[in-house]
Amino acid sequence: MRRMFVFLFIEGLLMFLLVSCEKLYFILLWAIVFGLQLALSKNKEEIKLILVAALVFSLSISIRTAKIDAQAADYRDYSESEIFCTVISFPKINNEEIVVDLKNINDKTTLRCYLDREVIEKIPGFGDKILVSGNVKKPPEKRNPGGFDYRLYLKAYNIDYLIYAEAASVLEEQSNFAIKSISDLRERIIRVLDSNLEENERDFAKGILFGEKNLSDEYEDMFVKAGISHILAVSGLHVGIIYSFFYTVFTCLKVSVKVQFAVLSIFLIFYSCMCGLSVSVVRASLMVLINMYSRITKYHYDPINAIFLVGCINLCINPYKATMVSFLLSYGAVFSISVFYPLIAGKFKIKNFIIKNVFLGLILTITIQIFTYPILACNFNGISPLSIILNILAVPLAGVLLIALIIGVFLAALAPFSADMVFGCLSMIIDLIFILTKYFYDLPFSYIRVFSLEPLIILMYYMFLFYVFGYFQFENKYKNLMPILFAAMFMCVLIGNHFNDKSLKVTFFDVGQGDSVLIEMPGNIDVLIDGGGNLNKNVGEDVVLKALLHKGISDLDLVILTHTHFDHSKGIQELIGNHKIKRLVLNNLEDEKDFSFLEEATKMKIDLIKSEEGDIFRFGKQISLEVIYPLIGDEYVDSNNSSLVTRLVYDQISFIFTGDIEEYGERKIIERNNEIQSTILKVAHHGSDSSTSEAFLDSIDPKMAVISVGENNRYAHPADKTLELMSNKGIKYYRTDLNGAVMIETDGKKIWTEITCEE
Amino acid sequence: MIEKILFIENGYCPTCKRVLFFTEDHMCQKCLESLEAIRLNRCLKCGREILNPGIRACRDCISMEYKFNRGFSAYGYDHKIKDIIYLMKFGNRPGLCRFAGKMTYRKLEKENRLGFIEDKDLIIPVPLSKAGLNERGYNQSELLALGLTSQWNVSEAANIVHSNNLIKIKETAHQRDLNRRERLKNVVGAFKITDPEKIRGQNILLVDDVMTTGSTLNECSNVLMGAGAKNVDILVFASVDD
Repeated sequence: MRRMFVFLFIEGLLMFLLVSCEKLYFILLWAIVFGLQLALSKNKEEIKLILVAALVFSLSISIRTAKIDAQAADYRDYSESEIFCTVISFPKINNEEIVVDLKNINDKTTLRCYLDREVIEKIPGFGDKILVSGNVKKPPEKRNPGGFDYRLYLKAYNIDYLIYAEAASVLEEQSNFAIKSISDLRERIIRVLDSNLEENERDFAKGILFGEKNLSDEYEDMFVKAGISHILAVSGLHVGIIYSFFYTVFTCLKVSVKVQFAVLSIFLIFYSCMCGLSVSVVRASLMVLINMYSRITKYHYDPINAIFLVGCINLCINPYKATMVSFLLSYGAVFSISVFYPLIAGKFKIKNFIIKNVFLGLILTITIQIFTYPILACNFNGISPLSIILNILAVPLAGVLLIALIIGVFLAALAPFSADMVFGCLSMIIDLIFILTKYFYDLPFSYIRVFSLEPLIILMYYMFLFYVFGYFQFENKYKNLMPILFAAMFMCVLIGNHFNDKSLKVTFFDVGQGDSVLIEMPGNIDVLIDGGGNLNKNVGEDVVLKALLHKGISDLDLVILTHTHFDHSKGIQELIGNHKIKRLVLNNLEDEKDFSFLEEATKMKIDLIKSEEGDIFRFGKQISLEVIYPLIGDEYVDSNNSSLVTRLVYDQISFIFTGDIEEYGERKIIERNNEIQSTILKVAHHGSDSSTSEAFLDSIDPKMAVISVGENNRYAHPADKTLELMSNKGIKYYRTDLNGAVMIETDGKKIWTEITCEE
Repeated sequence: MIEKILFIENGYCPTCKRVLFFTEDHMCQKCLESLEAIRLNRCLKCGREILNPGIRACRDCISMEYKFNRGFSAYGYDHKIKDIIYLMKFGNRPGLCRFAGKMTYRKLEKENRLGFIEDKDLIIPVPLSKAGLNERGYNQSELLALGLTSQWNVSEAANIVHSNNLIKIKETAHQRDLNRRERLKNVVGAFKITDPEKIRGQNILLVDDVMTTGSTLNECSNVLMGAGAKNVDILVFASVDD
């Protein structure tokens, strides 16, 4: 009863997981939590209340989840030329592009709209009615292990579609007075900032005031990696600063608590709306209001109950919010502050005011850092250990800046002549924050890449944290409960790993147009064949490295680069220096000058192996990787036909990886008459019609094939001819452009396939 | 309703500051146990803790004639208890006061001294002045007494606590700001009995949260004995050691 919202929140979360993941064991967990809640209740009245509250809440969450799911899965034909929409968000304006959320007036579907500045004359404001036409798409799902799921992310905003507008016009402006005035005020503040600050400073100021993230990529990266990007998302921190500012002013003016409550609630509602009702600002505002209410009524404010009540409200609004990193970080941080911070801080008694506050600040950030570590590790695969110190310096500055900005904006509006001076001071503070951040960003070890954690490990991590901090340390007959539980869980992890380790996993990443295959062998041996590569994107870092960190692969025993074309090699170039590689295998036909990264590879102490037919890499008794092309004594003809072709054999199952070879190379392989029959074929050259001749296909005789190819690529890969040929032969094939990453697992006898998405 | 679900009084353990998740108690199990573990060497008369293990009575009891007969003190005034007393007095924590009563009962039970309270006819808490009561909203000694008796059979406990008979008629300076002699003087004439009939010939237990010099308790006992009480014993949650 006393922690009803904790139970309600967990029950709601489990219900949401049950509906959205369709895994039945969540209902079991739900029943356990519900049973526990009933067991902890004291009398009949409580049981009645709990029954009603838990069932109604869980049911409404599941209905809400199902509704959002259905809406997102629903396919609508958007070939109609123009869509009549209402704008349902404030416009986000980057340099060239405007992003707004729209709601189709006819069928109530929602779209996130990308508008070019040139497409529309007037920037649409909140609530305006506009007419847009353009290319409507479903948001992309997760395409690779550890990849970002944009569709899931947009579900948290209730957005169903993406539209890249080709034409748009504002038909009717917002007429509601309240909305119009908020929107106007916001616009006016932004205009004041625009006219008074320089580019980066202005973006930073907007970030601090409204949580609008549109810093340039370079600065964004700097803030993220230095670990203080949270000051750019309007968070509990901001609301806390505003609250303490108001509190100090009110106390000086001797205003009564009730008046304080009224003024602050109006201000916070206003401010939350201006920030676009982001998860963290709503959380913090509601918590502050609950706190103030308790002061009026002389009730005892309890942060834990307040957190979970607000969490329940957030789940009601949209359960998918719980999947957002910002949700996890915001609630995680404030939860850790409530649960662990006071008990550590209470242990130290320091007299000196300044030392005490610096010390407490240090403890606070360390607490948050420790508690949110699994969240950061799983979502970003990186942590910033130095942010502990940087936070102590930058957070007070950000606080001063926020208050100064609010005052400055008002001053500039009331007395324009003072604007210069005010904004002069502001830009100095902003520059100071920039310099500090840059300094910490440049220090060694400012950003460390870390592995994702498995769910069971995360559970153990948190249980251990609670245990270490003196929770659940029973003195009675349950004294040994927790240590036994730890041991049991640890055994589970070990046993799970042991069984997992018997199988060989081959993952064909979706790197767009390009090739990249990861082979995970028993005994933690990992081999990568090619790294993909895109001239405009860093797929090596964003896809391959991300997946390696997600899978917890610390070093690659062998990296095979089939040939030097950038769609195979650029990704590997990005990996070198960012990830540990032991051996790098190259074909011996291409000139050394074509490898742009050999020098760096030698510097990183990577063994370089030039390979050709007959080289065999053995991994344990049963697994071997044999190079079957280029043949000994071959002459260089072109890059594609220099590709290393390798055959991986595990007991009765074999894979053949053909790089980009074309008919010329295929013919030579057939003539050589080596054993090349394989269960699974990586189709050569992205399914181009210059490769995969019928004769070659016949001699390999695969059961299954994978084509690694990018969506809408300019070479028109894969060729219809190749697809037809495989269909005629009854070969089941997967395409990374349609299926995302393709995972094939084998124990040497049977194979299991798994694809990331279906489209 | 809302104070039971959202605003709860015992969200944190007052001594170690850990969050109390599911217990209805006002302290965490660990802190409770650590308090139970302490064995006191008590003054034979007032029950106060004596640090010197060879001595059986405290200096105050030797040097001055207390008007009460015997005393029991549940805890010594160490930093954990200090935190609790502070919250009882100034933290708007009525529930904690009752809980302190329960703790006192458990202590008596554990030390096999339930006889000390069970033979009493009346339990009288040390009163607050009207202004003090208004400011605080409750009398911590009264709630302590009620918490203590809540552990007994209900019908018995229903009207054994008499909190309106002994009243405080004079606003006194805070005892903690004064020295020993001033404290004694400060409380003289501050208490009054409204209905002496109910006191006459009764065996009375006088309850307070904390005993420092014992001057308040002494003055109350004096008034009660003056009204014809047969015997006055005192019980405090904590006492400053000798």
